[in-house]
Amino acid sequence: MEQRVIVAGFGGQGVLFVGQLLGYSAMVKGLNATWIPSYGPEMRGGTANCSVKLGDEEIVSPFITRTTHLFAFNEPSLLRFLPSVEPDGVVLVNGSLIGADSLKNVSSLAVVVPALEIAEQLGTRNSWNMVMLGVYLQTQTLLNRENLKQGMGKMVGQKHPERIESNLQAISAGMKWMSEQGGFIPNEIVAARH
Amino acid sequence: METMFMKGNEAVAEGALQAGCRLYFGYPITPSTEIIEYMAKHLPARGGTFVQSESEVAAIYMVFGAAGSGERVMTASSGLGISLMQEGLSYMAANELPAVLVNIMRTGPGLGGLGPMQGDYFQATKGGGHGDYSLLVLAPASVQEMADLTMTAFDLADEYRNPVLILADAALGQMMEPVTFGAREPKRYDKPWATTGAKGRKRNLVTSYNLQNEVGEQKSIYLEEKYRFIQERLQWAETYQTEDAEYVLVAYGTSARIAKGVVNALRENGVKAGLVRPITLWPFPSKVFTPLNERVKGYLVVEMSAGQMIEDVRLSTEGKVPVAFYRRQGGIVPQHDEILEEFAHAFSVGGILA
Amino acid sequence: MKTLFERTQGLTDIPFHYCPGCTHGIIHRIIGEVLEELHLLENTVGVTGVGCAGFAEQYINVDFQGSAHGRAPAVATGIKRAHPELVVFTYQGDGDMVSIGLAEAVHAAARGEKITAFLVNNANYGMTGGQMAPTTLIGQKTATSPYGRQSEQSGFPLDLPVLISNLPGAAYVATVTVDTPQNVFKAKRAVRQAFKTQMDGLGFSLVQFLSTCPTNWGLTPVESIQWMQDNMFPVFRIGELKQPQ
Repeated sequence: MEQRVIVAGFGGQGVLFVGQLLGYSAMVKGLNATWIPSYGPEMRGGTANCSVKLGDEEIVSPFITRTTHLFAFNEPSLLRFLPSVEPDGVVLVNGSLIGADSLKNVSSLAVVVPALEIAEQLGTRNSWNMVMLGVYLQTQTLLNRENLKQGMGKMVGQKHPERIESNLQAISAGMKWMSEQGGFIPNEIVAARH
Repeated sequence: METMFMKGNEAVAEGALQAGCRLYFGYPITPSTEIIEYMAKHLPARGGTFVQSESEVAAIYMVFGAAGSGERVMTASSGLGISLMQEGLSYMAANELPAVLVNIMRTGPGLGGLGPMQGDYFQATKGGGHGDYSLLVLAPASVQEMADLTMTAFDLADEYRNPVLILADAALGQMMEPVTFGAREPKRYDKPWATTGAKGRKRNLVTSYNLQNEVGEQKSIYLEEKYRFIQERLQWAETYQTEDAEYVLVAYGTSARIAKGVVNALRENGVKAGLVRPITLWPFPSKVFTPLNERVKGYLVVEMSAGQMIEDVRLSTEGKVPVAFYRRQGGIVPQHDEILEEFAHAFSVGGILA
Repeated sequence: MKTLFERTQGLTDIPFHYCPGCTHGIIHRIIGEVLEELHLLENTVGVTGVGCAGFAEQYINVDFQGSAHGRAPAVATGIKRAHPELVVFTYQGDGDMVSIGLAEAVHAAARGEKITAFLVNNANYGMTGGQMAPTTLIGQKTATSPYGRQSEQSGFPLDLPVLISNLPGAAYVATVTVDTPQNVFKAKRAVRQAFKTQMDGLGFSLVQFLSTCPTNWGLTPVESIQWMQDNMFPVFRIGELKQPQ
């Protein structure tokens, strides 16, 4: 099984961090993984994106033509990468920045996550992207929370244990929110109704 | 044994440290900067010496000096900076100085952009500077190989007393993959020719001044024979699914990663396709093509340049097999579907487009 | 019988090939003698540039690396950083060090690189046939300033030691001449001081020698000395410009 994940948003939203964390987590689980950042003018300011492939078989190319999971942290990213998402793929939408109007043409499963609101309830506003990761965990079977925990430990080391702890709390909150949405129905916009 | 999730550039730097690289001289340039930053951080802590030079010109001559004094040394840059180093590389080859240099290729010509390209193939494999000489050129295609081939490069440099170039691109430099470092003791080579102070021996001269034509010719013939010897011994390539292949894709580095996916797709569609991935770009692995030329119906070369390696492929096929070509440039990598399309078009193989 | 004078072990047995009246030979001998007197012949590496000065590697009796035009200070940096226990010096002409190699020279000094640089300034490119150098004097005729150097077109002579003496990384900077026996002794003291500065780890040291080029100047050896005294001495600041504090 191979996951082809694109994480895209503004610079400063933790786009590259989220992607790298997926790579680290896959590695500690013994999976193959590639992570590659975007190129071109969008590397400086503006939008940022990275492609992550995870799987138990050899990953030949690090580039993604058909996406299984799209993290869209802002609207331009959603519009740009939506055409690459597989019909049975998952679009994880930052509902705090992207309105339901933008989702009209989505034929895959789109999960609109009130990520910022959930993070604010936790008192860690900046961990909204970890909330998104928690939601992602509920839509696939390759990685689980424990893998992310170990990946994070490998990635940021033991320098910031409090940061790891708050990130894990946000991941759990995202998982809980997703499970409250009544499960996971392909080709339906989950929570777009809010 | 430790497995890390690293950028290709960091793997190059860590590989160099594990190969016993003692000195690093360099000048920052995107997209190679992780190498100089990693060295600045880790080399002094591990007993080595790091100097940020005033230019790439100075960097390569600092490498020259340290190599001439017998130490393992390296520098890294990107195409533009490598252009500035060509004079020094010619001098180093003339003086048979072992060192490792890395080109994380970006787009060109001129200032270009920061994306990946393979437009420095000619510069890397056809001399690059003045005079008759060659660099040994290695082309990694994964982060693991960025580390492994860098370690190998130090041994090859000492073994053959020649600068060795790691030719990678911005995608390989920036991408992250798991990379495993095994326990590895750097090989030691005697360097009685090095300038370390003439204590208890005749003085050593590391110089390439040949004002007498007869001496110059002897030196040229000596170098020519050395390069021919290396060409005989050192032709490395990965062959993938070539045993029964009717069509063979040829690509190196990042292009080869994409081409491998295309081979898999072709196989899934019943086309007997294979891949030749040159690992040594100089010497070019012509020997790998010799048996294939007798039975393959066509080669498709995939590059991120206007067509440079394809010349060596054509020479290696001896005109026996048609050679098709697909390329993207300017920082855009060839797309999987585009290559499939070109394959179908070039070899009139229908029904393979997903 | 008491030996009053011996040829220094600091020079090889190869006869100098330099033009009559050229001062490279005197300067080679000074450096060779000082290296021998300081017991440095077995732990010194020299680096040459290109041009007439490039032949120093044949004559001064230590390990040598021959670098490219202008790059000797970078090569010396590489050697010294690889082997801090060695004494490393460069030997360059003025075209080499002051023109094409200005960046390498200034930055080696700025880094306080613990090397010693010798600059032989004869106000022109000697080996290539007497073209204008950055050190060529205003009004001086050369193959590429056939009507005399004009400042409007080619700027002004560059006195590198003055420039370098302003850098904190430079510990010892001097300009000397070898036109009289007395000045040869002064030059030798400067060379010794430069090597000692390096051995004491104090930083970059530079000695500029004002020199002659009778062949390209179109003068006899004796006339050349006179021309240097009359024309170069007023332009280049002679003496110890900077000494270790």
